[in-house]
Order: sequence, then C-alpha cells, then structure tokens
Amino acid sequence: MNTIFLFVSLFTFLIIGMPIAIAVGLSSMLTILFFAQDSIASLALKFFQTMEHFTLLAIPFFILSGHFLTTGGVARRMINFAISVVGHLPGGLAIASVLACMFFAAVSGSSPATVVAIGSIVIAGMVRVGYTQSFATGVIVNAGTLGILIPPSIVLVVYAAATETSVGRLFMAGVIPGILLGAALMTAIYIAARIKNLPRQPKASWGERFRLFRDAIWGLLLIFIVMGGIYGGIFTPTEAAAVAAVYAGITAVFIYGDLRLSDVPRVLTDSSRVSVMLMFIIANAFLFGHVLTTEQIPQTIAATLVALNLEGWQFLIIVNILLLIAGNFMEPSAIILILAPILFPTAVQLGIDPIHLGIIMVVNMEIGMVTPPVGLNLFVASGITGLPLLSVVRAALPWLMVLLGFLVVITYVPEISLYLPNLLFGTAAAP
Amino acid sequence: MLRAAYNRLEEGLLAFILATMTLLTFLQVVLRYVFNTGLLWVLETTTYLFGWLVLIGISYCVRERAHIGVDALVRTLPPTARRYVGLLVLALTLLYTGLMLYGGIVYIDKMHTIGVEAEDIPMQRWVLSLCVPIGFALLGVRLLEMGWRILTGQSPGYELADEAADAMKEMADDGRPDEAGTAR
Repeated sequence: MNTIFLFVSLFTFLIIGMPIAIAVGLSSMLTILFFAQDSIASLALKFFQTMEHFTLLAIPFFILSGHFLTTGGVARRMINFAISVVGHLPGGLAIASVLACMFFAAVSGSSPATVVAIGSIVIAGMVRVGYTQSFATGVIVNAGTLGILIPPSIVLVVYAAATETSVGRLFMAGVIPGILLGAALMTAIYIAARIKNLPRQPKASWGERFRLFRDAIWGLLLIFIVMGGIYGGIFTPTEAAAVAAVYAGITAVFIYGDLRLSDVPRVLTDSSRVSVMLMFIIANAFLFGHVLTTEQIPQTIAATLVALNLEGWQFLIIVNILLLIAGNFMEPSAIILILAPILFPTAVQLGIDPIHLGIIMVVNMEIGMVTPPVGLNLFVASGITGLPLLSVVRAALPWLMVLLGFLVVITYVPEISLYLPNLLFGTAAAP
Repeated sequence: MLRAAYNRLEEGLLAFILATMTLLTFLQVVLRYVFNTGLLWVLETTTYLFGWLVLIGISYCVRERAHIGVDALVRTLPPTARRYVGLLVLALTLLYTGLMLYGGIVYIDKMHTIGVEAEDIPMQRWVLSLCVPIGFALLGVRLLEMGWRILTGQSPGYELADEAADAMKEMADDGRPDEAGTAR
C-alpha cells in the first residue's frame, strides 16, 4: 500500500510537470506522513544533512572546473591537437572529434557540456570540408556521452553517494570502458569513411603535433592531476575536484587568458546555479531513499527477485531494460538516485560487483541521453546546429547501435570495468 | 529598485559562498602537503557553507528557471487546462515548501532549546542551520510570485527549465561581461 502510494504519487507529480526535485521530495514526505512515525522536523534535518556528505561536495567543484574549461580555449586546443594526431586517417576529422570528446570528457564531468564544448567547434568544421551535417552531428551527439563515463563524472559521484561505494574505484572503473567506447566509435567511423570515401586532412608533421600538444598541455595536465591525485592517495576525490576547479580557473584566466578576471563572478554564479539545481534533486532523493529504507522496499524487491531464482545475467537484462526506459524520460542523476538503492541489494545478493553495477548504470544513462523524448544531448545538438530535433534523432541512430552493442559487452564482461580498480586498489570485498 | 538590489545580493552571495568553499578545500590540500598541517574548522565550515549555498540557491533557481522537470505532456495541453495544471502544481510545491519550512522551524527551535554547539566552530548549531527555514521561506516567496504570473497570464504554466536552451546560452555568454539579472 505504502509502496504503491509512493510510486503512484511520484509518477503523477512528474507527469503534471512538477520540478523533479519537489516531485521526489513531496511524494516521500507524504508517504512518511501517512504511513510512518517520523516527524516533519526529522525530514527537514534529513534534507539538510545531505549537504554533510563529503563525497557530494565534489559536485559543485567539478561543475565549477567544467565551467572554467568550457570557455572555449581549452576545448579548442584539445581539438587542434586531436586533429594533428588522427586527422590524416579516412574520416579523420570525425575521428579527431571523438578523440577530442574523450580528452574533454577526461577533464569534465558532464555529457551535454562535452557536446557543447566540442560540438560547437567541430560540427561546422566537418561540414566545411565535405561531411554531411547529419553525419557530423550524429558522431558528436554520441561521442559526447563519454563525458559521464570517462572520469571525472558527476553521475558516478552521485552513484557513489547513493550506494556508499568508493568514488576512486568508480572513477578508475570508468577508464577502460571509456577508452573502449571511444575506440569503438572511431572504428565505426573509419569503416563508414572507407565505404563513403570521406575526406582526410593533410598529415601533420611531428614538429607540428608537438607544438599543438604543448599548446594543449595545460588542459590535458588536469587529467593527470585528478586521476593521479586520487590514485596516488594525494587527495580524496572531493579535494581533487576543488584542486581541479582552482587549477582550471588559473588556466583560463592567467595562462590562456580566454577569461577576464571580471568574468569570474559570473562563472561562479552560473556554476552555483547548476550545482544547486542538482543538489536540490539529490537532497530530495535522499528523503526518497530514506522512505525506501524505512519501508524495506528494496529488500522486498530483492527477496522477490531472488525467490524467482533469477540468474545474475537475467537480472542484468531486467536492469538494462528498466534503465533504458527510465533514461528516456529523466535526468541521469535523478534516475541513479531513485533506482540505485532499489537495485543495489538484489545485485549484491546475486554476486554482482557494486562497481560493475555503477558502470552498467552509467552506460545506460549515456544511451538515455541520445534517445528521445528527453535525450539531453539531442536537444543540445539541435541547438548548436539548428537542425530539427527529429533529424538529429535520425542522425544519431547509426552510432546509437554502437552504444547499444557496447552496453551488452559492458554488462556481460565485468572484467572490462573491474580490471583497473582491482589492479590499482586490490580486490576489496563488496561493502 | 529594491528587487534589483536583492537579486544582485543573491547572486553575489552564491558566488562568494562557492568561491570560499572551493578555496578552503584547496587550502586544506596545500596546507597538508606543503606545510604538513591542517585547520580543524575547515571541513565543518565547508559543509555548512554547502548547506547555505544549496538552501539560498533553491529560490534563486526558481527565479532563474533552472529547476528541471518533465513537461512534455503539459505542453500539449490547451492553454486553459495548462494554466489549471500549472496552478495545481504550484499549490503542491507550496505544500512541500510549507511542510519543509515548518519542519525547519521546529528543528531550529529544538536546537535552540538544547543549545548544542557545532563541533569545530565556536557557534551555536541552530544559528548555523538557520538556512533551512530561511531558504524555504525565500522559496515560498518566489513560488507566490510565480503563482501571480500564472494567474495574470504572464506565464502559461509552471516555469520549468529549458535545459538545452540554457546550455546554449551559457556557451554564448562565455567570455562576455556580466549581463545576468538585468537582461532576463
């Protein structure tokens, strides 16, 4: 009864256009008021305590560093370097765009930011040398999803906070899948380029490559600061995020000079707006999680599924279908916060590694970002190219197949996700 | 006039809090590795600042239309129906705000009566937690303003974010002087 009330009210609130955060919060509050003993004051406290999670503190810092980097300069230099490396291959400019998306994903935690930063420069460039606009857009829309798979990733931070797994491990787990997905997209482009005879760029000399690498180094260094810092135990992921934000600010203002010092307050307000919007959802989702726990809902679901004698792989099919459907309608962080606590206990009982589950969820969210009606990357791409939404959907479709194939591989070959974290941190027991 | 001044204050305050949180956390890393020391109060200060950032920011996000939601269905409704649905949503969000505000006040009152101090900062905990009732009171004001706009037909329904347009705008804004608060 209470479970039904919780979910029915949540979906009703969402459908009538209530902000996700309040829909999640209000349905949880009403469920508690009607069916449980908690006082309203304890709920307000629960809400406030979300901000005491040191892990979640990484979110505003990563958003801030992303805003500093999106100022154009860092992205443009990464693109120039990427073109000098792979531009001479068939379909070189498209392949270079994927590589640039990977670079940018490795310093930014968000997918739409990656699409905007890289896409707004390279799509026009590709069209100029003879690619069709839909080919160029389709590539970028899909490659941009790497933003949440290649660390740092805001979605992985959210998963870590929701399930109390290690952010460091999750970040490391995203590295190999991220590189593999990038490589898969590049290979698909290479094959398409051979068939369609797509243009190549003039081959850059090693001296030219080195010069462009030097030019891009300040942005690329951030990859090593964040990952090296976390892996080397120099700082926690949250501290790494703060260091990244300060570093990105200094790079944008003093080293590249793309941003004036007087612009910094505006970057700060923009970043706080995005952070607050996300944190408001997250804090309310913690209320939701609290209801789930007090009502023992995940345990009930786990017991039901385990009683069905489901195998791990069958459960993962259900997980994928559920996430793909949810991904079509809602924002990734909100989905993770609502579904991770529900799926987590079952996964653990079926012997699925929590880190692996996190990567599966993120890859599903990537696909959700390129499928209508709420695929954020589609809207962003339609915005920067001026193409109608439906054309962008069609343009993204062939590359979406690569993503779907990749999802199957990631789901059923856990080693791809787990090899690196286990190698670096040792095999730890599931928390 | 007063409203414009308040809007500027709101933006300035959020920027200031975020900058302070970032620099404090950064400072902590520098102190630990360069000077092999640390400041006890930094962690607690940062978490409370985070709380203030989020709670003050919620109402700011209503003004800036930054809260996201699923409005695909509502957009297809005829204008009158859409307005009624908007008002219903508004009433429900006000209910949420009211409950949170009430809960926040009760909590502050309890903390005040017990008189607990924060762990590492020499301040009463109820003072540090005042952002909860303040934040939700501000949210209530912003929602009532929006309700007025829906009633008078200035807004077709509950004002949600248009994420793609925002991402675009942010890109277009980059590298240009501050125009927030006046142009919108």
